[in-house]
Amino acid sequence: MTIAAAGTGWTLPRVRGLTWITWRQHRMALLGAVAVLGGFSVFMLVHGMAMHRDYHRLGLGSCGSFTTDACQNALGSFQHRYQSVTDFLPVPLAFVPALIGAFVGAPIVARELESGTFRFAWTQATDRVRWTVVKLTVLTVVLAGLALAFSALYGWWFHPWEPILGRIQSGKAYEVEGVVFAARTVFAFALGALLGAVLRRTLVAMAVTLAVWIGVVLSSAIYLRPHIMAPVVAQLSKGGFIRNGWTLSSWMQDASGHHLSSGEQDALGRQAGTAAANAADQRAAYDQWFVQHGYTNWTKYQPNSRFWHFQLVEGVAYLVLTLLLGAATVWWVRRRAA
Amino acid sequence: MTAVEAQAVGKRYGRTWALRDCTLAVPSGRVVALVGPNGAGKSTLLNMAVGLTTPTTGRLTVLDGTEPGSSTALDGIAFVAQDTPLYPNLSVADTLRLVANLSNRWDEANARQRLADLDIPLGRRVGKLSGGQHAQVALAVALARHPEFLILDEPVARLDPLARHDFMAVLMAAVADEGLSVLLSSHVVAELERVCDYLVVLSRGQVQVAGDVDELVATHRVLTGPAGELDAVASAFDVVHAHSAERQAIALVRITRPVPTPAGWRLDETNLEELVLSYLRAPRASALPGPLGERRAMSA
Repeated sequence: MTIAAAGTGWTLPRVRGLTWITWRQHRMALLGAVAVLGGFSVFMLVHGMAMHRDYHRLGLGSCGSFTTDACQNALGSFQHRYQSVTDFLPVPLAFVPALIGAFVGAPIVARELESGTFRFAWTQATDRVRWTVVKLTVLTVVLAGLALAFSALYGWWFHPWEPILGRIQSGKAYEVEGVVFAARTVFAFALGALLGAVLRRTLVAMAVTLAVWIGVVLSSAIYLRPHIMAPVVAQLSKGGFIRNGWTLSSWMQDASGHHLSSGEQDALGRQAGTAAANAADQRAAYDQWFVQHGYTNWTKYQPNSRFWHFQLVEGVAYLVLTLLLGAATVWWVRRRAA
Repeated sequence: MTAVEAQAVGKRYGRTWALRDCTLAVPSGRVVALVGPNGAGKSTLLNMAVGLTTPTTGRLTVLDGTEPGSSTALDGIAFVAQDTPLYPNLSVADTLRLVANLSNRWDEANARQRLADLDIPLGRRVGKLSGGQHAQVALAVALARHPEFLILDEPVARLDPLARHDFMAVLMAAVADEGLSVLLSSHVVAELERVCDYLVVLSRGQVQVAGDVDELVATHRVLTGPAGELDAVASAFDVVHAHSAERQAIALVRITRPVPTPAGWRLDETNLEELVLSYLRAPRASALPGPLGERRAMSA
């Protein structure tokens, strides 16, 4: 059953069977996904080249942990120029997986049910279980590939910031780099496919997919992610901080280990201020007062070196959810849909 | 050899039964008309036969005991669903390619020849075709799969008379050429007389009439006479449905053995449309073959 291509259409991939059908029916949705990611990619390429050039021009590549004054100044000017974009960009990008997944996933079964074409598609010689399995598999693989490629580009774009900000901070590069972005894209896709099959309306399924995805992703990022590994607890020098880790909390405690409230800290600050008022070096005396009275500063954080561990745990979790949703979709199409 | 066999099949949607206790054997090699008013359960029965719906109760098989929706059944049965759904954004050529990619014995030349005969351009989007062309594409695609059994659900309901005629002509030519079994549902009875040789009447979710068209026509007569004598005369006959207009009474009667014509009455031959309409007007009457016929006595 070799079929010559129709005169007018352009037939890029020479594929057959359900793979061809998947491409033919969903190429517009896929091109939409490519357009969204492509738009951001073009921006990142243009912006990233300038940013990388300035990073090297300022000599930040050889600054280590930015201890010297020259490095501090260079860092200041680099941050002044580029940090606002760096802080902002992950915010919209974090939601792109939901949009792509809902846009590609929701119509797969819903549109067939909505328009009645399932009576045509599912009564051909190929049964609807295979129809569903192949469509879900092919589109999952394609979307995962697109998302991974985009994450790799983001990784390149963000690279200068790794020693400065780290990659593990929640709500920042972590959401777009590595494998989490792709895993969330296929999760949204599978969620959209299942909801489309169950709700039988494409638009409703898209909206519900977005809502559920946001609920799952936000609550997992806020409530579950900090528990992937027990955080590191470390004592800080006064005024110190962990530059590129993900700080979960920091506090001051007294000699008995009691965590001080901010009210208590303010009161202590006034006491230390009074004590240090007549000292030659007021700053040193102020800090010294806390040391003398047994007060210490602590932080609880996830170090940047755990980036891949976190990414893999979270990525695998979303992938497992994706497989479960896919299996549920196939079951639903087989038993309930028509 | 049966194309469809239903044993006490029921289908419930929520609290209403679309089909109830439906027992039926549709012979293969025939062109079977499935007739009934809207909501009689025709689509439900056909959707079950192609595996899109499963019975709530009972058992339904196709092609001599095959499970509907199994790969053998899907391969052997082509279905033209109500309103002939196709993808409107696909070109005709891509529609063919789509079905080709889902079929095991696709005949591309056959499909292209049929469409060429009808002057349907392959490059046009299906959504831009006329209603008649749209239905013809659906039929051509179904026939090019070389099915053993073709099921059509109200294929001509929305077509104008000319398109309806053309569609039926193509269908009949294909039946003559390939000898496939056909099950065709319709509520347009007039269209079926030329085409079908077996009739199934479905009413309120149950089979009311099932049998060979010639045999049914041969065993029914139209009885016409004075209205005042209707009750007396009718008792000697098996009356399906009777009605009086002014002084004249007309009744469709079933004749299983030779009966003398009562004095002052006429006994005329009937046709398929009259027969179907009479049964549909009398939902409690039924004409069923074999042991099922016994139920007649109970409900009459």
